[in-house]
Amino acid sequence: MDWIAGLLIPFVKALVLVVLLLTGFAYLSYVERKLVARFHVRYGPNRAGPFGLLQPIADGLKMLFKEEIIPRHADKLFYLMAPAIVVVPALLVWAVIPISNFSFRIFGYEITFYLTDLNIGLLYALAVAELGTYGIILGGWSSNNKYALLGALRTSSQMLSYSLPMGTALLSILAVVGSLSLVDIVNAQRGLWFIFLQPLGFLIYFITGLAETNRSPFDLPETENELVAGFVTEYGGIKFALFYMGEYISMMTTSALATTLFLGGWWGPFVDELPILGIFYFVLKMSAVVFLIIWVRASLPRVRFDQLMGFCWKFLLPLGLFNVMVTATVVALWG
Amino acid sequence: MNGSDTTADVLKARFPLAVEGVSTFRSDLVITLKREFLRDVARMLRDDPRLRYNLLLDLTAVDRLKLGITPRFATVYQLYSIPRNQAVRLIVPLPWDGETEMPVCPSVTDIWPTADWLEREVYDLIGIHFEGHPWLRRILMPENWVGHPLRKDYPLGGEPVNFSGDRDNPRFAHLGQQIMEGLSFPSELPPGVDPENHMVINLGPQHPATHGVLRVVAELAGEQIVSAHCDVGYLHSGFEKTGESKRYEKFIPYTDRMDYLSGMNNNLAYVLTVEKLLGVEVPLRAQYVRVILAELQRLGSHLFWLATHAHDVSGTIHSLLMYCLRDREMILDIFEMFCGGRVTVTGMCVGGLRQDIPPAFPEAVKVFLREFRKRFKEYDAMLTRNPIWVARSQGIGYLAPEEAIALGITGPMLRAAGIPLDLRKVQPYSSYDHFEFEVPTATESDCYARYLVRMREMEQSARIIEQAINRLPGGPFRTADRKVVLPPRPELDTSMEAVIHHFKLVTEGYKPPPGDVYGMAENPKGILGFYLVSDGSAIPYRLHIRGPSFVNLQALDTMARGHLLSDLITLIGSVDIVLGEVDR
Amino acid sequence: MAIEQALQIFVFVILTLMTLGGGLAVVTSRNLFHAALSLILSLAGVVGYYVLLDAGFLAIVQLLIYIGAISILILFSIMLTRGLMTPRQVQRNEQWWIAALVVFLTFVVLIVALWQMVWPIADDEALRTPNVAISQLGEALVGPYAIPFEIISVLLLVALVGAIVLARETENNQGSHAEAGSSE
Repeated sequence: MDWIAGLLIPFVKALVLVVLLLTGFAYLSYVERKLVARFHVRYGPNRAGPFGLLQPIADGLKMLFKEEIIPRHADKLFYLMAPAIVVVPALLVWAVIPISNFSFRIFGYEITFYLTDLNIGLLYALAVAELGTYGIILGGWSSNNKYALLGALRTSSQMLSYSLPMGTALLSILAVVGSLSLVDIVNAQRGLWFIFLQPLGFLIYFITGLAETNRSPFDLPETENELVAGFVTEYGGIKFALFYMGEYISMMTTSALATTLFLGGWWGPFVDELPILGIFYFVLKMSAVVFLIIWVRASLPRVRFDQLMGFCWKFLLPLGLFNVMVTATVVALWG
Repeated sequence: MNGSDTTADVLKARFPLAVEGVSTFRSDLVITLKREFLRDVARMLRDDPRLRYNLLLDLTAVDRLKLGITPRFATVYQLYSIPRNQAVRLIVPLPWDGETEMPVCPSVTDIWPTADWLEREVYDLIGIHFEGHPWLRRILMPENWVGHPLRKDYPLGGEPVNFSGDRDNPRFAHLGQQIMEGLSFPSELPPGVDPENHMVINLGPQHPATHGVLRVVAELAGEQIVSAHCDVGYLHSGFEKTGESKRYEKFIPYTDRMDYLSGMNNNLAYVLTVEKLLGVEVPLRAQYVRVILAELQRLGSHLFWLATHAHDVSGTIHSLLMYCLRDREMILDIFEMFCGGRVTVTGMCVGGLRQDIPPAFPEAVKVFLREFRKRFKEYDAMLTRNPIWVARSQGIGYLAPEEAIALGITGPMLRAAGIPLDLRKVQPYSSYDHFEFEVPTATESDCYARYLVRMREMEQSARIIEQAINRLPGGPFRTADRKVVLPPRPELDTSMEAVIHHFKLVTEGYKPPPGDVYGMAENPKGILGFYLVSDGSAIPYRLHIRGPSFVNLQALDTMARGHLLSDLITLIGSVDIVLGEVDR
Repeated sequence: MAIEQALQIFVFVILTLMTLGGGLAVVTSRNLFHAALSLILSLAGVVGYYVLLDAGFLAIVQLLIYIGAISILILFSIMLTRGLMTPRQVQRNEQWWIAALVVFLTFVVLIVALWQMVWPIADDEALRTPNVAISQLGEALVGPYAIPFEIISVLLLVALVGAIVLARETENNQGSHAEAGSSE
């Protein structure tokens, strides 16, 4: 194992991935604004550039040049750390997400379309994605603001509630595939996507995924109508933008994971003949999930935070466990 | 008249010493009482099975300094009996030797809890001490205000205003610096609030869900509300004081700006009151058009309520917000076609309408109705059976019917508690009795019931508009009484008399006979009441406004206790307040 | 190989500083919230050890359970119960000497145990195939170690029920208190 294969290639791949994700964040915010505007019978951003395409850049610049305000009684270290903590885990998950089985060779080195194929990739994705919660909790607590604190409180209780049902959804996949590697999981869906084998699992994953990314109808930590802006109340400028970056990237992460776990990853017609098509299929499926998330936002009212907890503990968790049991029984009998 | 006689007779029989006088003016029964008997009489009026004046509609006071009546101050109680559909007004003169700071009046807060804020308002603006009031402090004016603005000896400008933000005051020294120091000065907490064991959170005055500058001091245990006290008055603009220095007809534009979502209804309530005072008959066409305008405005107000309420509760369905505002826009377009104004309409005048409807008006209304009915089904489908919506609003903020009456609640909130009090039905004005419509009620008395009632009301409003527009009679659009409305322009060229009328009206205005009337109308938010005292001049001597938002908002604390912070937002939305009317 | 080993030692030192420093900060910090965060730092150091030992599964489980769930619960309860505006806490209470005694005894027991333990050095074969460990772990848990596993589960269940019972009791007290307050 020389240093090119061991260090340089992963580094370059990571760099490309991060750049892509950050651009993706910027344009996802544009797409969301446009889409939601359409749902609202509005136009959405249409001033900066053709069709408002430069809007994300304008927003970014605006955020960048805002005055930096740190509340006097804030816990400075954690106040500054929190936005970064939100973004980093969302990016880290992408290390294990296989975009395509397509690979090409440069100078004798094989370049694959995933950073690494961890044998515990699924667990890794689950564990790392949850770390983003710390950013929200720290941000809410360190701001020394009551609204922010309530936002942080809600985040932590919400997080404890959704991660268990989400775990059960992933467990049923694990039972079917028998491997925690995401590449193996996608390969197992070559014939039949898991959304058809595990419709309940997908539903649970999608709902808890909405809760994990703090998306409507589970956007309780911010709830601008109750908590002003929740955990981001005291944030401004680029730090505020970082929270949104975290939210949008984890939205992409959740969609990518949903694609990988339930929608057959890169598989689609003619992928065998032309593997590069897999990238296209992956992005297409991911976009479909993203669209679904945005659609939900434009049409559903928000639940109350105790209702979310009740829903997760009393309904989703038993449902997920039931799903796991049924799956395990079927696998044990016929698998 | 029979019912009025009963009231006076029963009262005289029970308290022969209490009654100083009974009079009837413009069909308003007025009973003057001795102060010592106020509480006993009030309790009897509420509880006696023959009387049952269970709703304290309004409580105010008059400074009679310039009327030359002694004693100078008198409190006024407008009572209404829901089961008997009868109203009575009590006037309680308050003997005052001028030695003490202010005259004293016994408080009726324990008989009608709604008197709480109303008495605070009187204390604040007129300066009457209510003995037995639980927390008598200023409500609309700032805490450190000097004087009582509605007293007749209060200066009307030209005098130095007592600004609190002077530079010598250390409290305000930080103002004007580039970066503000976050100095905090804890304001006095309402009684019973325990900041040691609970988190006290200030919702507002700058908060996205309070629809303006409302401050709610919410005492939380975790996220559970222990108490929620409202602090209002940030938007107080002295409408009553302004009204007492303007001619009657010049106050109409001000009414637009109180509940700025229901300008037409405010206009209607005000002109009805003035017309009652003047004894003017309004032609049928004007009445019908008034009904159309008022019901369109009700639709507009309810649509705006639906939009913001759904937005507040759910946060993210801006969709409904945009859809509802799209429809409200059509209503505003119709208003613009009619009078040129959209929000601040001033569409009516005493004696009729400011101008006749344009020829395209009926068609525009019909087009709107068609569109509205189609879209309304979608809005209904979006929320009414949405499980999340039902979970968010069902069982939230229960108000028992008797509790609601005691708190003076009117409008959709009262009807959601199962009491079908709708003035359009029980005391039809502006020929509402010509139209078929129902008064939607519900019995659950929670946020969901209020939602349902308002939704059904929108359907009924559309029904009324349709009938009115189809049966719109011809004829004049305002009264022919030349003492009240200007003669038509062509008449000025031919008639000397018309010129004189025109001149007199423009330079002096009309002069109603001396007396006092209470006029009210069913606004989208509840009963809007106007109390007018005339001294025979062209300017009202006393003008008092009963804002339904103001009275209904009092119930927030009662409704919110035990619920979660999120529910508080639902509750504020379900009261349907407009701060312009709360603070006036 | 020398560089790799030096790197490993360097990382080990950092992890040790994280773990021990975090642990120290937990007991010395006057701010309860900071103490909890230091605990997370300490736990993160342990995650690093597992990664260094090629025990990826354990590392992730540590991350998922200790950092992802338990610490969040601790932070949640701190935020819920302690006033935000009074972060300063007294570190000692009247039971400090009992705690010291227990700590000392535990220390002695651990030292004795470590001293007597024979440490089998795993052969290269086992190190090279760590992937097997996951399924082996699973099989071991439902196979030979099934009974201890179940006992632990029951213990946790008892703790869970106990916690609910305790919490419920105080809730009832609070409820009756609130009722009394409102009826006044």
